[in-house]
Amino acid sequence: MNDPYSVLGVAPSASEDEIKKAYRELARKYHPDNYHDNPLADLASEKMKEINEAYDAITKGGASGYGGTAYTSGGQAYARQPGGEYAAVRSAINSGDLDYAEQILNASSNQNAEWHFLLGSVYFRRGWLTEASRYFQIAVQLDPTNAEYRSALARMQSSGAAYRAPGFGGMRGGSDCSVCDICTAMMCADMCCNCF
Amino acid sequence: MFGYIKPCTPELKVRELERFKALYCGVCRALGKRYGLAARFVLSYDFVFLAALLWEPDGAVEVRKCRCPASLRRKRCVCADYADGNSVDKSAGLGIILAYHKLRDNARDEGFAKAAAAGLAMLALRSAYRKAAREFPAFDDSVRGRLDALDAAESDPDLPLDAAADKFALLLADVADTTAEPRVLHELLYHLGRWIYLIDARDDLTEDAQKGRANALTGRGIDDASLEMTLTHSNNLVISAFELLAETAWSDIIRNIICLGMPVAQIQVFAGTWKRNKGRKI
Repeated sequence: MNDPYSVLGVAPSASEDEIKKAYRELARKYHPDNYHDNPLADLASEKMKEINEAYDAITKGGASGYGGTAYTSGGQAYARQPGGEYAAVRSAINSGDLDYAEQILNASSNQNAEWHFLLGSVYFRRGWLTEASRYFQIAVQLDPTNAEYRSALARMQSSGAAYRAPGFGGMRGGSDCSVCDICTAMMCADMCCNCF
Repeated sequence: MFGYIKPCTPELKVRELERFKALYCGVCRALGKRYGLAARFVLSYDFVFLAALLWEPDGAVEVRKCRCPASLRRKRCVCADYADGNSVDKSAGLGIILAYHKLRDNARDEGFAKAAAAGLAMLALRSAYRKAAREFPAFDDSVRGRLDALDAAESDPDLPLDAAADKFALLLADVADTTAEPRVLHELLYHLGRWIYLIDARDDLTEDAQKGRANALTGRGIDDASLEMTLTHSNNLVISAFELLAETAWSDIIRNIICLGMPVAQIQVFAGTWKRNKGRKI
């Protein structure tokens, strides 16, 4: 294992608070929520594990707050119905073999709500959001009561929420920041720029 | 290539801006030194970003003064010379290949005047391109193949927009195959390429409609809201992939580019102000 201090990016002489702060910052960066449905999720969870181990090593087994196993179970979202018709598709999506999943779906003649949902999931994993949104919407229309399809559509609206390092989050604003707010902010910023 | 990938300069520290300018000069100098004077004209911010992105994790940044043909009177800073195979030389080589194939594409698709201009530019770049293609033969082949596939995809109106963007995204993602960290960089460059393709299509949309030119967005029934959503999503995937790479001397500048520069470009393209100020003002 690497030197735990260099993993956390702190000096060996750092105080407990500094270590905790560095740990929290890194844990926020590699948090599984930032890598949900992301093909690189396994790398992020490896990083997370490394950070947890480093923090535990420094604090000598103290409670870490972000348990190592708690966040390694990401990417299981498509495994809820193992006996369903599309079990093979779901397991292909989970293992990241999107081409195979798409191939099975294309060969299927029964294009029901689940078919549209799964094809949407394949496109979503690829980052093809306009296609994913189309298929998720059809799935929800065909089966409005299914919570899985509705949550997939809702998640897509707020998806891929990436961690932004301190000082790099200002451009998009919070979720309650409308386009008008951004324009107003830009106008203010522009006026400030002209003062110099 | 397109110049959308650039820093949000008001948010850079002064020393970071100086260093970024030095890298810009460095890439230009590498183009001139390795591929001749004409090659310097293909320089764009995208290749400077590529040079920063592919930087070796433990590579130091050395800056020294030298003269530049574009401003003979004063000496500008440029990054010092490096060993062969470093990221500056590499992005210069890849840049030549991409620019040449883009010209080849223009010569085929555009009207007479533009096609003739592209043909002349190709002539000027031919020897530079031959040298770069010898250095990166696999990349040259893949760019050629991807652009042909993109052409075919764009002329098929039934193909979804995502599938057309995919071809261009893969073109950039192929750069990752030439690196030591292919998986993360593949994901990063794929979504960067996808973002560039879509933002470029949106930026040209009004002009293309006026002049009756083809545009990837025309007739696909995609409104601005869903386009913005997918662009932001790709931008976010670029950021989350980037955070998995080792820190280098350029990490903070790259964070500025992908976390601030890209959103600013996106806001300005949608507001229709990008062509006027190119992200200089926020």
